[in-house]
Amino acid sequence: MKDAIADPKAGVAIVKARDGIINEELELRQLKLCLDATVLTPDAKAEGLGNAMAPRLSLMASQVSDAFATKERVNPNAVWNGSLLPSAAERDIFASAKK
Amino acid sequence: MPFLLLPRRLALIAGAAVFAQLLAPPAVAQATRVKFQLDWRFEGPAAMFLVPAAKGYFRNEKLDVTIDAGNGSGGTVTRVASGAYDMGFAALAALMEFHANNPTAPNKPVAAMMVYNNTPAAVLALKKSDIKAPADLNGKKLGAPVFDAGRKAFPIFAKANNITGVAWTSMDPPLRETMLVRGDVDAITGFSFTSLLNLEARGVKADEIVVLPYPSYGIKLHGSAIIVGEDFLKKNPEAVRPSCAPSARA
Repeated sequence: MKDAIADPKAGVAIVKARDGIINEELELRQLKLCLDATVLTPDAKAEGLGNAMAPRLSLMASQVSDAFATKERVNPNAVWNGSLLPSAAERDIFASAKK
Repeated sequence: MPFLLLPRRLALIAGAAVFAQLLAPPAVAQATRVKFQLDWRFEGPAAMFLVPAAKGYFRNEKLDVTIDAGNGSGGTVTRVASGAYDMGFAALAALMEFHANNPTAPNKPVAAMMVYNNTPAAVLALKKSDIKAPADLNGKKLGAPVFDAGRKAFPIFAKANNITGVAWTSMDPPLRETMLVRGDVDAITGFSFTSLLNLEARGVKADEIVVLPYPSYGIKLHGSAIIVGEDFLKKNPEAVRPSCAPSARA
């Protein structure tokens, strides 16, 4: 993860090696846009990469139950297991990001 | 870090070691096999998973990780639940939907690490349509595949932004941006970064495109996470621990 953030170009070259059909220039843009929009966000910075906070999970569970009209209500505690997360220091990716 | 918090083998399970010896060959400890499915094809974002694999970070942790492409989060959740895959990368909303619709499923996957903290879902339109903000979507024609994350979560976006009277047109993913360009629909939902590039690939310039990302308009939904099958977790009892130190060093 840190590697892909620190050197997205090398990261896309590895994707290219796996699937030769991709346009590297385009996918490099997609990776950068993706990281900015979803991974390197203010929320991720506040909560810690990889983590999920209980209040937000509960809100999402409730919203998804309504919007997706699920058979039962979503139990946020059943879908998330944060006990496997690496330490916060190991998850600190914001230093890796070159802006 | 191998983004996967792929389980680290802290110690070899004694029985497994003896068994391996009886069977003969490898003097080296057997690596734990992990079958991992992505949410989508091998595109730019897949680098987050393919890089640690290519650099041998998982191998260093005695993990033999196979990464396959996917065809949508819903499929990845189902295949981890069926045991076809041990782990995967999928939208948290799709995982929640699976849990709530299959309460008695024996092997419900759990999310163990958030990757896309914020949902990548967005509404995209062409500037010439005069859609500038969510309120401009009132009564408009929207298009997306039925399983699209942005479409499924649209009621949440609509409620937060008081949007009403939207009519949906469904299509296969490759036609979504084409139909917007042709004017068959007024706006589409999709992953902001994917649809933006798909529109550019169809000759639309970036400055002719309006992107309304859900997180910019009051939506706190998480995006996609690493998921693990319940059985896989149980079968790797004390050996299961996160491993991210190797790539943290990189």
